[in-house]
Amino acid sequence: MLNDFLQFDFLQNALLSGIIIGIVCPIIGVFLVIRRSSLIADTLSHVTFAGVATGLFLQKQFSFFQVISPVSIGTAFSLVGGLVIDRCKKIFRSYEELALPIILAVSIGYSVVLISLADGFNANVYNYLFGSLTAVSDKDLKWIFAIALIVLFIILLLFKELFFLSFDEEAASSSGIRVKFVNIVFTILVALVISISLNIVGILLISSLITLPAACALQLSNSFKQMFLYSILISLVAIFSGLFLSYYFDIATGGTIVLVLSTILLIILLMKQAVKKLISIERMKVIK
Amino acid sequence: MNACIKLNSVSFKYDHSIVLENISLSLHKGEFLGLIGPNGSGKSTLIKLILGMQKPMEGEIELFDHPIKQFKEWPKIGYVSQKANTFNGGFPATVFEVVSTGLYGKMGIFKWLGKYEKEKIMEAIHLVGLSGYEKRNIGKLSGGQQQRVFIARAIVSEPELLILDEPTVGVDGKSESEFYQTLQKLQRELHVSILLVSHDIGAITAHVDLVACLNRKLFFYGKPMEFELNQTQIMSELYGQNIHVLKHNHGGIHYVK
Repeated sequence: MLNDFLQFDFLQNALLSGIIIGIVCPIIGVFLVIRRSSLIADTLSHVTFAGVATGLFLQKQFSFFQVISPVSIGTAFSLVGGLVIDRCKKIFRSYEELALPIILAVSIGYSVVLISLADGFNANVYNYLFGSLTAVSDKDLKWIFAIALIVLFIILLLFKELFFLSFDEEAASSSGIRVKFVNIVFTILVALVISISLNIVGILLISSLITLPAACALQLSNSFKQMFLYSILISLVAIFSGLFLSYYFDIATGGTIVLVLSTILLIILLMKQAVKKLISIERMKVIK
Repeated sequence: MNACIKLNSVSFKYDHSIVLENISLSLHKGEFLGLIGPNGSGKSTLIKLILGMQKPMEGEIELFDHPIKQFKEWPKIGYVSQKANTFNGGFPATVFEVVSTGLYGKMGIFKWLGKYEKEKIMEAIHLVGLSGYEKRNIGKLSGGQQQRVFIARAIVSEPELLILDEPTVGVDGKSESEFYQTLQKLQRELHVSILLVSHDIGAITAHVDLVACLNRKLFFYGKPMEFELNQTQIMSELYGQNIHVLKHNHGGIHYVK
């Protein structure tokens, strides 16, 4: 099976883009999870879908739009969506999390209406929703690589500010950190990561790839640095095994990766429980 | 003498209710000011005004002899917020990582911690008596130790002014006494000016150079000795009802209606 991955271009593309996504998704995910903002990933992925649906609709109606990839329209939607979320949060103030389900619902409603206007569901839409092993072309791979590099570079530059904001936004603000600027840049990064991940895992499953490795790492980490290392490691293991399993058993790639991640999380939680139980048994023995 | 904080007839309103009215006070270099007052008396709002998080409706605020609008040297001010105690205990950060955030404002954007910064962080951790705890997860420390981590974070940038907003809420008596010792050590060794907001009138008057009593207006501003001489009258005015002062053998003070 390994030979197939070395032999076929589409499998190599899937593997390489998997490695790239397996690094950037958990990095973004760590910040989202510890800021208790995991739902932003879900919301922006649906906003991206609204953009993709717009692209597909325009392609069907006007031949001119054949040259524009629906993913790039999805990315544009996601970028604007990120800024709209930021604005809506201010409108709802103390209930700022309301902004997310509202924008998510509007995006789904809009996408469904557009798909129905374009005369129903087709294979393209299915690939965007659930991801596909064969969906990554050479051109896509270059795009994914370039965007991932930009995202990693910006995260590296703003790492300490993002960490401070995640830990204590009020103190960060009072120490002169430009909170608004860093928050907007971060939302844009989330939008970009979603746009490059949708080919492989699909819009409906991107948020799992962003949040699940961070959720696993949170169970194991003592420090912030550890959380990054563990989440990247877990994400890469899940992507490799997910890609191989999906190819071998001919099943959906995104779904397989997410199921592997969920299994890893379950194992970690069970092991933690077992360790806790063992420690309490040892303590009881000492007391007796 | 240079004033770190100077408030001149400052007033502030939330919607239509007056929260602060005509407040004037100053804190000079090396002084320790205790700000006391009941719940909702405007203490935290006053801190927000001093930190530039809110703007006064009337009056002027000066920080280090500069009008607050023109003040840019925020790293000169270390701040421990009321919320510091209620941080997310499950946050995966070590003592070192948390204390390092205190340097981020001073370092500016697009810069990383170097050898010099790392040494400063270790010094601050040592100064609050937490050497050896650098790699410990902050969520696994006691309330008093966590409090000291936040003080280390506030002093790591070597501020000239330290502002603490009700930092001993939820901290046990022993930790509270250690906390005041740490503050006095900072004042003595680093000549830091301190503004401490607290409910704990007894503890405050025992440690500070100046006392300010606030309940929308400033009811008292002066030396702790003057405060103690007139405290029944001041406290009655402050709380708006007759208050009797009871002193315990161990130095604690209770106020009864």
